[in-house]
Amino acid sequence: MPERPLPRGYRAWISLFPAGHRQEYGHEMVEALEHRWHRRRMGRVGELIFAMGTAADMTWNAFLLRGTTIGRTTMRFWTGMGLELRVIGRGLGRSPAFTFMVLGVLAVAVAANAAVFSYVRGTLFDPPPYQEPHDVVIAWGSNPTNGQARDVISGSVYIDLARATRSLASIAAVHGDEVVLIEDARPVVVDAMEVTVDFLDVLGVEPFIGRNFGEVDRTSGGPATAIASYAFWRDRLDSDPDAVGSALDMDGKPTTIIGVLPEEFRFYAPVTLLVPLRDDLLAAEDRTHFHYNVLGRLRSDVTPSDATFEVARILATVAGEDPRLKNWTVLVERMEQVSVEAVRPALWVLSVAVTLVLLIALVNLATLFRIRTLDRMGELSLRSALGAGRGRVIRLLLAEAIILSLMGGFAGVALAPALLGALAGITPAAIPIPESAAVVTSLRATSP
Amino acid sequence: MANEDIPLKPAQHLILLILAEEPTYGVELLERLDASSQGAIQLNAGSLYRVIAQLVHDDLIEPVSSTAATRGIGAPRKLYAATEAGRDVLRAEAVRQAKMLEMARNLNLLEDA
Repeated sequence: MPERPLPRGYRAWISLFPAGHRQEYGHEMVEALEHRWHRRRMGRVGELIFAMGTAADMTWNAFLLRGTTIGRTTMRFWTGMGLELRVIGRGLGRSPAFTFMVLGVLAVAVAANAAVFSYVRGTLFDPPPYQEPHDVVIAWGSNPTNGQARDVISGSVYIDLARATRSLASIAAVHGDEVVLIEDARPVVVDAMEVTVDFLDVLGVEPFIGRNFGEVDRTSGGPATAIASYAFWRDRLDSDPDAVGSALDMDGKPTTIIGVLPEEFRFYAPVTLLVPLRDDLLAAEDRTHFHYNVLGRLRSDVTPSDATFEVARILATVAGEDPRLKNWTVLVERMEQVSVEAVRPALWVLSVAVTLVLLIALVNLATLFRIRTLDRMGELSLRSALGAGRGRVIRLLLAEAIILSLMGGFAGVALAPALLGALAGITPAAIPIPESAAVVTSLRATSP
Repeated sequence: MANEDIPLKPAQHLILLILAEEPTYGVELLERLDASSQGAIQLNAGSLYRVIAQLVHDDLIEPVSSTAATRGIGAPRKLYAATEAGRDVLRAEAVRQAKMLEMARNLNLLEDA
């Protein structure tokens, strides 16, 4: 009985191998398969074993060879990329309108995203540079006369709270104000924050140079002193370490600069100078002269609810002496919640908006690239006719897109700080502009 | 150069030895592999030509001439032979194996076997 030839289906296994390998060894592989076929064991079992062995052998070896082929092809693709750069540079130089359009759109979109996300990160996510910022709280009074749940407190009530509280480790009153400095014989108005002497202790902040307010500054008999912000020290005092101890003409009286705040210091309102509020003057104020924000630092085992309860009890005692405060209640909240609460929704909307701007920009760029490619069909056809394969053409277009993207991205990152500065400039002072957001520090915040 | 290619894998080694003896084509190589290894190395078509492609790529063997196909149709068969580099690798491998053998002999492992 003539021997059955190798079924044709087995030749299909050869198609698993890379084209070059098929071309070089395909015929010989078929011959080797036929050889093995003729040497197989007879019968259905023999054919089954042969079929399984062939399937495993062909699949595995094709897989191994394809792996190395893909590796080599990828390597060739990227090493050849360098050769395209010159061609691309010339091509872009011949189309300046397209190049500048792409770079401009990318730069603006990336810069807008980098600026907004840096701002959002700095505002919403970076904790303020205070010691244990989670423990810093604001004590609000709720004003029954105007219906405000979060209102300022009078100086004398602050003194009552400071004397009686046990849930707050330290407490300070704060009031944003302005002072007039005489510089070069001209009056200059600057932001000043009136604070009680424990203000920096509440925040857990030490002056960068000089000293904090102390007991000597607590009462009205003390010297006229002030602590300067880092920016004030840098810009107006020329970063002079000896400026600490020097005197400014402030509101018509000589005031000694006793310290400089750290560069990273920030607060929910602009701070140029800190000037001390005197406890005795606060205590003498009328209890209904509502004027001050009150900050405190929670003791470690106390919650804001505990503090609210205690402060309410103290206020009830005060109201017993002064019936005008009878209907007042209080609320103690963590400062990290309060300081960004007002801007959080707006910042999220802004983030979504700039992301959409970026997406729109990218869709426009995709269209622009498509039109340019259609416009270059003649050139690309010529390249193909001269022997450039599909991969080569794809590499050219891809390299062009990558180069433009990188250039646009870098331009955007370079533009971002200026945009962020402009953003900070047009933002109302009541919205916190953290110093840390003013610097685009990482590409994480700037990736499109 | 040769040192980078050793130790050779058993199939590579045997194929290189066979091709160093005389130029051989694929199917005959299969036969001789079976015979030389007493059936221990039985390559199928896919494995055989992957090893051959690798050895050609490494310049250890080369196609030297073609013979007519057995049944007069199809592509002519290629004869493969070991290159000079391939022979260098075989020498380096032999030296390596001789050292191993010497160590085994010193441990009296051959007597036990």
